[in-house]
Amino acid sequence: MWRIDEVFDSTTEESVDLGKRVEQRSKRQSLYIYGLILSTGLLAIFSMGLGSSKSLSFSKIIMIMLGLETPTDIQETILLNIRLPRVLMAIFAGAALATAGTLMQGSLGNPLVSPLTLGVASGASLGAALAIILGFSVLELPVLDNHIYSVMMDIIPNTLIVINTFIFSLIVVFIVIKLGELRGVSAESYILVGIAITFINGAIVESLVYFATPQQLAQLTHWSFGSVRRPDLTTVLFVGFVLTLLYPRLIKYSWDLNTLAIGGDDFAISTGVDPGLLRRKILVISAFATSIIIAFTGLIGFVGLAAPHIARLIVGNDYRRLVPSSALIGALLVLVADTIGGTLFAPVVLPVGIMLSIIGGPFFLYLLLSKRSGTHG
Amino acid sequence: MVKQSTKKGSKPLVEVSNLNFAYGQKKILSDISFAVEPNCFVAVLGINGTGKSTLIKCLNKINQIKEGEVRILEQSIQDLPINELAKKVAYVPQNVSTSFPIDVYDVILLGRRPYLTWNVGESDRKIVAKVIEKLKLEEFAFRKFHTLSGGEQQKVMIAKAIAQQPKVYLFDEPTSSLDLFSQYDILSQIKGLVSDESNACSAIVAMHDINLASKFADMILIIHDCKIYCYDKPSSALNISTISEVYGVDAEILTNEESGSPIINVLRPKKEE
Repeated sequence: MWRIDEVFDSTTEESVDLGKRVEQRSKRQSLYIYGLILSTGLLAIFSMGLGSSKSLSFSKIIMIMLGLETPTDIQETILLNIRLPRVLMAIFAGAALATAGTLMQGSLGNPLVSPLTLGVASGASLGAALAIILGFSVLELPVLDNHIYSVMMDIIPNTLIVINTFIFSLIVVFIVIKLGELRGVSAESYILVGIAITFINGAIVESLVYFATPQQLAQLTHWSFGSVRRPDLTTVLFVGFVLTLLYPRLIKYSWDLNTLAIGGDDFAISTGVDPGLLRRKILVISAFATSIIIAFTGLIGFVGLAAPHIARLIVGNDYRRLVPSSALIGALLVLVADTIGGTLFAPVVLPVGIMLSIIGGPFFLYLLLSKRSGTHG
Repeated sequence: MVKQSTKKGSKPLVEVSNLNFAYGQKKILSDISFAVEPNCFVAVLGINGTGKSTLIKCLNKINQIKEGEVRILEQSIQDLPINELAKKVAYVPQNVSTSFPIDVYDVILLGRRPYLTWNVGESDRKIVAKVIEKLKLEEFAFRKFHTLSGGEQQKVMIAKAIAQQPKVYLFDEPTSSLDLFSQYDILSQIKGLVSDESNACSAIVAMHDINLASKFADMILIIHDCKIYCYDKPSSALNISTISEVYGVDAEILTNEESGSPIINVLRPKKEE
């Protein structure tokens, strides 16, 4: 029989050499991540070149970025004020929503959860409806079929709607979290309470809509489509800054989510993880990140549900890889959807929310069906 | 009824006093008090649904206790955060039915989770490598946990528990679905852990099989009608009247010539009078 203290005696060496295999393994696993980072970067540059006014070639953008070529004033204005914020917002929105989706699916142990399920979306809609219909809104929306006006609307953020949606989605999530706790901090309570609150909010929004003028209705519909083309560069950089502050905290939860995924609450507790506390933390941080994004973009739903699953199919279920991978896949999805939506029927821009479901849906189905037996491998 | 039978002298690792536990209105455990000394294998016995697992789970906060107190190393577990408790108490569940694909190496590494501040350190990897070496798990190390057999999974869970460097091991029916070899293999490992004098650990093991308990355990704790029926050495605890009263069967008691531990040979279900 061996002695336990030998295991914890740091002066003796282990005889089995696992170090090399561990290293090889982590190298192989980071290849995926590097690949995803590279493709996101390339696509971002490519997308910068596309737009309703003037297309710029891939190489030209790189030259401008490297400072080897000076852009004309118009080019500079378009790149800095329209395309850069659009591309960055697509990346931030995709990454944040996908990460929130992954963490919420993991902490609630439910593959159908997305960042919008626990009432965030309904809270945001309520906030927007209150602003638009009850007359908080100062900007009267011009008729939507006029393309130039809709572009104007995209560029000028409607501060009141933004603030309203952000605050209401946060309030609703906190209500869901508090009510969920009253019923015990189990995953199921949060989901059920979230569904109930969503219906209640939905009813309030519907009643508001019932009394809305056609213009207000049009504005609300337009808001709910979701677009990454609304915020300006300063706003986007601010959003990026806030998300960067949150992100390392989220990555840290990967270990805890792994314990939860392996053996449920009991196993997590015996490994030193408090599942109730973990859920609460993740829900609060995810809700915060999601609210910030959809306040500026409107409803972008599909990515938060699909990106985590696509990432699972590609890199497996280990959260240490899954969290960064799904963030990158989310960024890619939104970027692709927005780029195609912007070019397909140019100069008409199809909202990214619609494009995401049109392109992402079939892609998601294809992955699901083609890797059906390997879902867990 | 024997309430407590600890020797004076060494400090107990675990002290449970006046523990009551109920699921809603249904009372499961009532007035449970006992103490576990270092280097002791305690088998918790009782018929199905009698609260063996419930008791085990009360000792590491999986079940939140409202009445009574559990002290580990003279510290009440109510005062210990879950992360600190995981450094003192390791729990091995009955079975981990997971389809979550994760390498065995990473499962064992999770045992270091309570000690991690940010990321896995060199010392953590070293500890995991040594546990793998000691338990002879090298060939499984990079296989997926959910593809292993029940016995292999249980052994990986023990490795994970050891990596937690605990003082108290809790097992919830560790051998209930295993083949004969694995049953003896797992229980021998547990016995080895607690008999290691260099490390004053103890194990509290919910068990089904009275004869395995008799063979491996130092102390037998029988729960019957929500209470402790007896807490004693196997030779005293396992007698004809106990078996008859607790399990409702007539039995004869033989003696293991090698160890002197009792062997229970069940004859028939007890006749209703």
